[in-house]
Formats: sequence, C-alpha cells, structure tokens
Amino acid sequence: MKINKKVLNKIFIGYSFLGPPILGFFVFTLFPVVASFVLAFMEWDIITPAKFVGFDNFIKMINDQDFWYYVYNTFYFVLAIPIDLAAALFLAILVNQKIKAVGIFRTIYFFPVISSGVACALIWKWIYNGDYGILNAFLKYIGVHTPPNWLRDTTWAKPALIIFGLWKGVGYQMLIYLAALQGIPEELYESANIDGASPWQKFWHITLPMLSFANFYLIITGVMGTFQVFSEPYVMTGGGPMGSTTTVVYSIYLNAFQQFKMGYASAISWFLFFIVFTVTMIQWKYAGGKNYYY
Amino acid sequence: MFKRAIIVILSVLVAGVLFVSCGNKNALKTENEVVTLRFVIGGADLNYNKLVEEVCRNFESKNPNIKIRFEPVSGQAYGQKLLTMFASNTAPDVFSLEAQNLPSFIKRNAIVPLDSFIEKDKSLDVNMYYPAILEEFTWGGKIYSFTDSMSPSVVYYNKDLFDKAKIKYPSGNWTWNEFLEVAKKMTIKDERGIVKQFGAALYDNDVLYFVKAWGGSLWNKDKSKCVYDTPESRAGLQFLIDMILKYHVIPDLKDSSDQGSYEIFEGGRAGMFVGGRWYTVSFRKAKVNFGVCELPKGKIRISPISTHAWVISSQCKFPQQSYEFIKYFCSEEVVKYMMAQGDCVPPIKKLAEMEFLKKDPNFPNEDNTAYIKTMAYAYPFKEYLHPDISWSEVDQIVWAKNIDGVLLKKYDIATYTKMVQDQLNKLIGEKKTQK
Repeated sequence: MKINKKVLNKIFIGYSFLGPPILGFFVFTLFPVVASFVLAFMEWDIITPAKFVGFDNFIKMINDQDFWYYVYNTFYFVLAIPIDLAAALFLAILVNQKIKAVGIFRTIYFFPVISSGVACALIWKWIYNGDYGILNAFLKYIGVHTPPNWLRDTTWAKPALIIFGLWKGVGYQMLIYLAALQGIPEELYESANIDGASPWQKFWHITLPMLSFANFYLIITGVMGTFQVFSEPYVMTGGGPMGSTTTVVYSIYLNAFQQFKMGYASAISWFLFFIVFTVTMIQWKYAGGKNYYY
Repeated sequence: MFKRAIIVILSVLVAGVLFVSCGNKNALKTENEVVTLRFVIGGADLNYNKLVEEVCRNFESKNPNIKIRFEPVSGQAYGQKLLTMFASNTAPDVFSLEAQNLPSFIKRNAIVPLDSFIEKDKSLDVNMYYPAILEEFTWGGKIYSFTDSMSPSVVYYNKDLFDKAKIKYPSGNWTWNEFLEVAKKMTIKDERGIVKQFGAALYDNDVLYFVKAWGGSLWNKDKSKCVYDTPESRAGLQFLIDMILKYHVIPDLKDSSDQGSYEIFEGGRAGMFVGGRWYTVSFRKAKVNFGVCELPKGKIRISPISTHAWVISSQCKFPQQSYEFIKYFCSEEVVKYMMAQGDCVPPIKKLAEMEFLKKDPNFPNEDNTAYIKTMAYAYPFKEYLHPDISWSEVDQIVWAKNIDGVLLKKYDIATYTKMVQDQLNKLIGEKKTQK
C-alpha cells in the first residue's frame, strides 16, 4: 500500500484516538493478565521477592478440599440462571401488556438494578434475619412455624443469596427481553390468530423462538457473571456459614488480599478462567451456530 | 501500515511511562535541610484523622526542619494499599499498623526496629510505658513501636436498665458465673421466645480470651506448636457457647453482624457490653447512662489490650527524623491530648495513674478506676500471634469457618478445638519446610 502524507496523517489521527483505550488495555488488562499467569507459578506475598515454585500452586489447589467445595458452591449459583431467566421473561411479558401506567411497573422492576448493591445487600440481610427479619415474620404469619435462619444456615444460605440476586438483577434481563419482545413483528401473531392458534401455542412457537438470540446473550453473560459472584457473599455472609457461600472468586479475594498468597490466588484465577472459557465455548458450539430468525 | 500502527502504539506507551516516571523526584538531602516525611494512617475515622493532623502540625512547629506530609487512607483497603506501596517502592516513611499485623511486616523486613535510636537517645525512658504495651511491640528482642493510646477490655453496664430490673450494679469483683447470673436476669424474651433484650453483648469475636481466662492457650510457650485442644480451652469455650446457645443471654457471635454488638447495647437492647474505651464516644452520643467495671474472673483474671503501632518502614529515607516523630507522637504531651478526647486509656503509667483518674469535667459521670485496675492483669494481643503465620490465617482457622460448626450445632467443641489444633500445626509444619 502506497502511503502518502495525507493518509499517514489520517492514520495518525485515527490511532491517537485509539491510543488512550489501547494504553488502558495494555496497562490495566493485558499486563495484569500476563502478570497473574507468571505469578501462578510463583510464591509472592507482595513485599518479599517472588520465588519460582513450578506447579506447586496448582498441586496445592487440586489437593485442597475446601477449594473443591468452593467450586461446588459456584456451580450451585450457576444453576440459578434458568430461574433468573424464567422470572425475567415472565416479568417482561407482563410489562409488555398494553395497560395503563405500565411504565411505573417497569420502573419498579428495574429499580434494584440501578440501586447500590451494597445498600441492597444490607437491607436484605435484615430481611433474612432469623429472629426479627421481615421474611420470617411473614413465613410465621402464613403458618411456617420454624422457618430457616437463612444466612446462618448451611442449607439455606446459598438459596437466600440466589433469591437476593434474582431480585437485584432480574430487571436488567427483563429489559433485554422486553426490547426483544417488542421487536417481534405483529404479523406473526396475526397470522397465527387466523390459523386459530391458542395463546400457549403462540408463546411456544412464535415468542420463544423469536427470543432465542436474547436467550443466548443472557445465558452467556449470565454464566460468566455468576462464575464471578463476589459482592453478595462479601457483604451478606462473609463466605459463611462454614464456607457454604464462599465462591471461587471470593476465595481468590481471601487468598490474595487477606492472606497475601498472590501466587496461589493467581493459580485459582487461571483455573476459573479455563472453566468459564470451556463453558462458553460449549455454549457457542451448541447454541451459537444455530440459525436465528433474525 | 500495521507496522506503523505498532510504532504509534509503542510511542504512546513510552510517552506514558516517561510521564509516570517524571513524577518521582528523589534528591538526597543533608541533615540541616528541611526534610519531608510521608506519614500514612489507615482505617481511622475522620475525627481521629483531624486529631492526628493537629499532632503533625504541632510537631512541625517544634521541629522546623521536618515537614510531615499526612496521608490518611480511609476504608478497609488500608492493608492492601500499604502492600502495594511497598511493592512499588513508594512506601511511606512512617505509618500506622494494627498490632496484629506487626509480625507479618517484621518477618518480611518491611519495618525497622527502634532500638538503635533508643540507645542513642538519653531523653527517652521507655519504662514509662506499661510493660504490656512494650511487650506488645517487642518481637525477637527488638522493639518496633510505642503508642499514643490503647484500651483494655472492661464491662460497660447500662445503669437505667439495671435500675429498671432492680439489680445491683456489678462491682467488678466477680466471676464469669456471677456475670452469667446477672445476664440471665437482664435478658427479656417476648411471648414467642425471641430475645428482646440481651443480658450482654461482646464487642469482638474474641473466643481466644475465653480460652486464656480458663487457663488454656492457643500456642505453647515458644510458639512451636498449637496447644488449643486442652480441657481448659474446651471449658472456656463451652462457657462462651453456653451463654449463646443454652442461655441466650448474648447474641449469636455472627448473627449480630448486621447491627454491631455495641449498637445493640447503645440502643438499650443489652444490659452489659464487653469492650474497650473507644466505644464510649458513641455511648455518650447515644446518651447511654453507663457505668464501667472490671471483666469477670474465669480461672484466672485477665483482659486483652487493643492498641495500634507507629512504625518506620524499611524504605524510609530519614529514619532519625522518623524516630523523632514517633517519639513525639507517643510522648506525654500527645498522650495527654489523646486522653482528653475520652476514647482511650493512656499507655504511659504515670499519666494513667494520676491525671487519668481525676474527674474529667467533660465527662463528669465517668469513673476511670476500672481501666487502671484492669491494667494490672492486662495482656497484649501479641499472645495470640505467631511470628510465621499471619493473623488473618489464624483468624480464618480459629474464628471464620470452624467455629460456625459449633454455633450451628454441627459438631461439638472437642471436635472444633481438635480441628483448629491440627490445622494450625499443619500450617506451622508448612512454614518450617518453606524456610
């Protein structure tokens, strides 16, 4: 390619606009990624110089029973995604109805998404309190005499966090579904009406297939998001009781920033990366290749 | 074209690096010139920061050759920020450190001992401090810090609630069993059996206090082994757990976390509160009519001290000036000033036993005798610490995870103490092989 001054000038202007984000990427993303990869094979407590230890960190991780428990906890949270999506779709269909003041409902459902996560978590901690929490007061009122002590119960702490996460995040997914729903051409429903389709058939054969691209997007981002659950256990349970809400990312935080085992934490990070990467590749392979209706 | 793009990106990167490195000016200075000390404290509230700032300015006016650049760090990320500064060779000259983090910094040679300065310094008598305070900051025969303020643990009681229940105020000459009896009387349950008012609340997750008070210990004498699993430890822990699970006189150690246990006391929902003097600031604000008495006696009578350290970093460029600053910060003058704020106990014996005991016109209803009596048997936090294992690792094992099983009745105390002992001994073994 022949380059004259004018073209060169244009290139320069173009890249000078690209420069800051690229610089940011190098400094804040690429460098930490490379550094954590190197650190995964080292032992480093930040102050004393790092020491090369080979695969010790990974061996330690594989032999660490607690670690596998945290992996189990993390997968448990991933199982909540279908529930999240079903709830979001249900809400989206509700607020897609042509009724008065639907904007108010949309706002209400979306409100938790824009609220401060920590503030919400603190309020839910109160709601979940075993003695004077409003949830258990309600459960007792409707006849559940011994409701669980949610966040202080190894069985119920994870579901409690999932319910909180659902409340907090469902608005966003609802919004995506709502946009997708409104993009479905009216004609499809009209012709289905002419053919005498029932509402259920219309949902099953028109709405759901037309939403498959939204589903795909939400599942992929949802899986990535839940593999990285951190703030809920951090604020609400501190990873307890008995480690039952400690996720992989929370254990990375504990190891790196509470106990300053940077090498071990990096090894776990790369393990998590490979899980997320594999799961996402599988999703692309089996869901991403299909033809959508768009 | 691709090549050019790379050149452009690289030049931007280089420019960035140059830009950053320009900010670092390190000129060597001689003794007579004005030097600037970087002084970082963390995790303190705004009020305390203001006090510290004032101390810094006073120091500057007395030492015109030393300027203090005061950088308070707020929030919980102080430890991380400090380490990051160390890693990037921008550590402050002087900084604050919670007593429990001292061994981690000493082990990594991140802070320097004060002994060489003290030897040269004729004007300082270190024995003016309480021995427990000196003990707190002494590791491997070397002393790393003094302090300006501290507090042993005592019992606060809500006089109004005691009057209402027609119970005599505790005298301080009592045992934990007597404490339990009082707490039982102070506990009020509603018709559903839910506790409306607790007998007492504990400020901290200090299970190790109960172990010690019943004659047990976490470590053996030379800290080469964990000896947690003894009948004494189990008896102390059993007493604590019974207060929670059997008698329900104190809140579940972890359930109260959405409302700090001192807030329960402050709100009149607990008759007594075990903690240090720094809480009295908010008690006064909440207009709690409180009295102070000594901690009850277990097998032996003890009380843990809480305090913080002022240390010189190993990257410090002006160690002598830094020493002068720390010395001033922990001098009689500043200790008196901190004492007047009414949130601590002076670590200097003479002050504590004279002026501190006089009635302070600002707090006319308060009697400080209990703190000073307590100092006779107070012990430093150091007794929980291990030179090779960081406190957060110990805390994870003793407190964070394992004790949940006891509180949730999944296993008994003997299982718990055995578990802690095995895990800590394993950790000691790992650290040894690393060496």
